[in-house]
Amino acid sequence: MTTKKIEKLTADQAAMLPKIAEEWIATGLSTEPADRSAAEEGVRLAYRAAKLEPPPFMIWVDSPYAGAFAQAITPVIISQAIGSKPDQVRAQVRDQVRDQVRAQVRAQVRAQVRDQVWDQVWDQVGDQVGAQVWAQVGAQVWAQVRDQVRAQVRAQVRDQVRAQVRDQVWDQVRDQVRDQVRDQVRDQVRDQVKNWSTGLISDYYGLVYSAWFDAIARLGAAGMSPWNGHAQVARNAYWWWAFRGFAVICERPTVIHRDGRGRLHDESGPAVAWPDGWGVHSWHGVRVPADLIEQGWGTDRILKEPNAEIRRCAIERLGWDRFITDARLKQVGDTVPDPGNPGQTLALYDVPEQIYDVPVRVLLCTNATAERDGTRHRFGLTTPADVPDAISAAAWTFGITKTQYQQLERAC
Amino acid sequence: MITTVSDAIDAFGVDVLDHLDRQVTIPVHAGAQRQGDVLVLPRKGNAAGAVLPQAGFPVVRGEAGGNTHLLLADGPVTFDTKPATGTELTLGVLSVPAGSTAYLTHPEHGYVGIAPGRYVIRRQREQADELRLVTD
Repeated sequence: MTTKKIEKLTADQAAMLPKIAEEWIATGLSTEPADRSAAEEGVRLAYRAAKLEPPPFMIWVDSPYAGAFAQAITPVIISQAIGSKPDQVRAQVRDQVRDQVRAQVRAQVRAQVRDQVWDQVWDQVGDQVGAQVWAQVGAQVWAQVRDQVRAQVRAQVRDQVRAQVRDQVWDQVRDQVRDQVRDQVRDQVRDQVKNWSTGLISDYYGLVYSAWFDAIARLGAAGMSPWNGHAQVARNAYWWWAFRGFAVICERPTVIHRDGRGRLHDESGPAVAWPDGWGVHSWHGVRVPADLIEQGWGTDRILKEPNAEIRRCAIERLGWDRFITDARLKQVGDTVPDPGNPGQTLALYDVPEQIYDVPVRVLLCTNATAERDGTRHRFGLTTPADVPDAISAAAWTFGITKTQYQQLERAC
Repeated sequence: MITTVSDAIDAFGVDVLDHLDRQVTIPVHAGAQRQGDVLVLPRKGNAAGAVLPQAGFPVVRGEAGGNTHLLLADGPVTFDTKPATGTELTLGVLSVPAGSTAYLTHPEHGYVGIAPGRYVIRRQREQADELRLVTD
């Protein structure tokens, strides 16, 4: 290797990193249809890089949720089609293939680069590219989707399987053996279900590593090519899962909506949705039930919701001004003029502890600027429960004193 | 010379929603003022060092890239940015020298004029399950 070891990034190289991160973030948030032949070619490259036979079957699914089930069903269908026992196909040793295709290739790339790129530079690129892509796409979108798939698989399959296995085992064994058998069966079922449901949704780091390794390659390091297949899948599709004999590849989402801080958020529909209609409803990054977003919850439904975070989202969706009236919140002190906001007022209300999980009060405010239709937007801001009055509450929201807030000359 | 909202839109090329009055004079204040969830508060202390770029500086970015509170300058205004966290609400410190004016603009709120002086720009917070910053 004649390349000089990269010990420190030049200013130009450092300036390049945010751009590379942006490119990959845009890729990760793309709602364009997948380029299927390019993605499949990427899968084949990834298998070859892992010294594995490329899979003869490529199964496309229209959502990660469909992917979760396709992985379990595919071996059975393939075995029926080719006339072998399902076990032969199923014995692909899921984890082994996944580790070979992903972790080993990753390690291989890292080893190649170790004598070309200083560790600090490697880490710096990881921080500035990989971590950025993770923060914008992984943490905000994928983690939510993963959690939703897990929750649905758990609710619809795992709990039932567990309960039925438990019932059957308990019915069939006598007291003296029950204790020994029960724990083992329980542990095995737990481990298997856990492996399955973790494995089927764990391959979503591909984009992060692709971004990171792409940046390293563009800095001039050689030997990154074993990752090319992964990068090609990440560029052209979405999640995918590697098995011996087949791969499951997921279409791209058709919708991704986020708020100004990059959190999944949509006020009237799913914040992320796939071609088969499966999606995730989210209020500023909090996963919430679909009907909270699609129909909106009334005060009665909100008060029945056991999860405090979801309750808070539902109140915000309904609007604090409505909720204050409907839930008959008790006003604290008088309604007072809003300093700098002529004609508008501030009013403070107690929020009972069973509504929020921390004791709070809510300050009902009115925008200083009128909306297009001439009305003014009213909104609530939550404050600590120990603010004594409305002006103090407003001052607290900006972290200033009551006197400072009273001296506001203008609000707009 | 920037007097009205219309003047400011021409000078900076940053528009506001079309139902807002463009002929209204932008009030310029040296005292505390608020634009939605952003507060401009007079302060004592050293001047800010970094010259505000011609294109302005987004002190708070709004949803989906729009609805940004953008800080703009008519004159050699300086602004040192400081990132906000859950408890530290300071967005930055602003210095407006004599003869200059700074502006905060937001598509829904129009323009706010800031007279010569030294200020701290703060953002708003809420007491949610944990402290969180307000996004409008």
